[in-house]
Amino acid sequence: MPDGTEGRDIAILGAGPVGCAIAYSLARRKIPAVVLDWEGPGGSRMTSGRFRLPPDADAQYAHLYRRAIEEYPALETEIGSIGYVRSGGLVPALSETDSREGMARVRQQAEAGLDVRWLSRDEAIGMEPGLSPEILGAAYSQYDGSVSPDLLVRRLVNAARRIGGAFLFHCGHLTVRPRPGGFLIRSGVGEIEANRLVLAAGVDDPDIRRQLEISLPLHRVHDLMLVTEPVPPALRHTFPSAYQSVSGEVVIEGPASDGIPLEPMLTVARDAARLLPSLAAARVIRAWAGPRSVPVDGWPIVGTVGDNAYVAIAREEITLCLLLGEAIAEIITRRRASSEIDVFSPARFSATTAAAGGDFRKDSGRTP
Amino acid sequence: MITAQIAVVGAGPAGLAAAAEARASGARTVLIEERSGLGGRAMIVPGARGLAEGLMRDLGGVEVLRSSVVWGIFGHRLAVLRAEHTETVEADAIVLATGARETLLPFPGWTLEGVMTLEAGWEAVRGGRIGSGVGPAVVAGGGEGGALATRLSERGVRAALLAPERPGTLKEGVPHLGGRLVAAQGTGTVERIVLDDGTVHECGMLCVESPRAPAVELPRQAGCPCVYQPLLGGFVPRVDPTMALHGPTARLYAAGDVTGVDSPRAAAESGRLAARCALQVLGLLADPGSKIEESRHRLAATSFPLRARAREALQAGALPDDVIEQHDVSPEVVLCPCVGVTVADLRAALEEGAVTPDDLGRWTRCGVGMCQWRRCGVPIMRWLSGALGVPIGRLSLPAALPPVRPVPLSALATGERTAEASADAHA
Repeated sequence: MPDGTEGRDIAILGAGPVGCAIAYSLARRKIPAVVLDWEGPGGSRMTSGRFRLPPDADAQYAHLYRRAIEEYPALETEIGSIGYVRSGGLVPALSETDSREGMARVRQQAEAGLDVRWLSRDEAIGMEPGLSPEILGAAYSQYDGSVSPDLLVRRLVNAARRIGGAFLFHCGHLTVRPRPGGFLIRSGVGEIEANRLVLAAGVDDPDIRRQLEISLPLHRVHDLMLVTEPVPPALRHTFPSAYQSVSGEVVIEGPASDGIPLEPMLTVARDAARLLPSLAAARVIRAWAGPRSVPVDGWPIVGTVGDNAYVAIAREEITLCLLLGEAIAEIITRRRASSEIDVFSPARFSATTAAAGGDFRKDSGRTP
Repeated sequence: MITAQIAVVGAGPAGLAAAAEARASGARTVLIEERSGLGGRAMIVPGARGLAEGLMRDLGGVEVLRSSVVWGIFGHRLAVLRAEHTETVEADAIVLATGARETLLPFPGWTLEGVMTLEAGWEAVRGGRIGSGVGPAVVAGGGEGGALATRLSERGVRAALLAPERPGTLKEGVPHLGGRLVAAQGTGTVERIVLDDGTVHECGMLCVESPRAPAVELPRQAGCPCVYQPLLGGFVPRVDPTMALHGPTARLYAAGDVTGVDSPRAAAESGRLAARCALQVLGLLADPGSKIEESRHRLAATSFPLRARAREALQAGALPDDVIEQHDVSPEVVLCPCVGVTVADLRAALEEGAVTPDDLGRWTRCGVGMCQWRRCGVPIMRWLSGALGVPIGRLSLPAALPPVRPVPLSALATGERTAEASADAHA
């Protein structure tokens, strides 16, 4: 057994923001846990630092979103700077359809209790002078912002370590076997025994889920990120396709196809340059694309997935990681989740739940 | 989109020879060079100019793209930054002849303005950026350094050579300093240097002879594995005996210093060999057996024997000996100049569990600035090897991501739109 991992009650698979947040929440409750990752700290690197409110968020989710954002300033006082900026966010419309849908969304979100509003073209450009005059209007949300995912992970790892958390990076191939009263994990750095297991690895854990015969309705999306050199403040707000980090780099995001990333790179660049012409001269210094596993219905999955096994996975990883951490810690210590988290339990996918009308997705009529 | 049968990246001796050879066999050939002039390093430092100029005369019929920067390689397509646009070049076979670059090794003050490699010093001389207003200049190095100090002095610069002994290349009247460089000092710009005998010398331009390392970012971005062979200048991509790169893409070749630093003449022969092997695979080479054999002999004959042996061993599948680099630098020395990451910062990250260069990059932001490891990769890998006590060849290399050169967003946005791309965008 690798040093420092003896007597660990809980093993967490995945050292991305979610896994590290869970480790921190458990460490604060004095529950000994160890985080394992195939890669180094931060996991798959497919995490954007931008807070994301899904377009079809309902009241329940809107509440969760607001709470999630509110966790950040407090966390920063606890563990040190994580590059948190609450810049507010704009979702501009470039077509009549965009406008109609955007206004409907703003209405829906306002009804759900969020302080959001629709801006005219001139208002939007007044707030964000770099925007293209082509836009027809924009939705504004005061909650949006960003953190530095790398800094967040580093701070969480160090904070968790100081109060008893353990981390094993670059573990090589992992196999997990259930055994009486727990799990045996074989890794490239030795064997680890744990009573409980938390799956927090997103894209990297299908293998583990197969080994444990856990099935979750996830699908793969391919994201692409372009990063520019640090430039003087160029964006005041976050955008669905871009934000500027505290270090001055502009992160540009978009979808990628599965294959060669050249065309997606050009397309994502074109879309960003069209929306934000002021970024045209910024030089792109790196780009990467990769898959992520996201719940098919778009909502986080957090809860129990079998005997002593738990899962935490979300499309809005950075937005929700702190809440997911708290939720898992709560479920483990109290054996149940608060009602606001309970609706995101994997139980929502089981046939019986759906038949009993307990599938919150059906009631709210969202489409994946 | 430009299409060709053979595309050659880099117009130093290897690329020039490869393009000329491809053209001689009738292949539609494109040669892509990031500078405005051809010849590469051969035109900058003394001694190889004639060779490069000779090769340039054989380029008739080759489509030459100058001031064109290959920033990515995607299968058999090259993404090229040209006149503020992204253009793609698609070829049946690609020869990467990206050369090697002189890489400063860190010492206190190495990141100050005015501290540079000999290569950069020569480039400043050739580019006419040197005059009596510059200096005083100190060149640290041997024979090649002597030649540069001499040239600087001819240009009216007050120059001196810092070397263990006075080389024959140093003209009478140009002063020679014994001793070893300890530090460069100044505010923003180098103002003086300190030697190991405690003497301090005024200095406005410091050229330090530095080892040349293969410029492997393109083969690496293409997914080709590298090994560490100090005899060849550091990390080199693996090639088979036909100069084809290991990795996911067939008909991708490497030639010249990128496969291991050697003489300019050997680089040219290596370019010829790679082109001939590519032509053979494409069915374009008459009498391939004897021509390829001839190229091999000439490559061996023009190489430094130790380097030829090292290259041949790698091609035969042997792995070089493990080397642990011991690189003693004090904690306050900056190893990543773009972001300003010091040895102390890196050590702190190691203590927190970072292991690989990418871990260090995430936690300290080293390597993720403008140079994307091109300048700091070698120093940081060497330091990491010593700090972990792990052979440098066993460390994982930082991720090689496109673009391998900075590209303005507008130049990506104005990339040509293929039918396939439009279909993707509407899917």
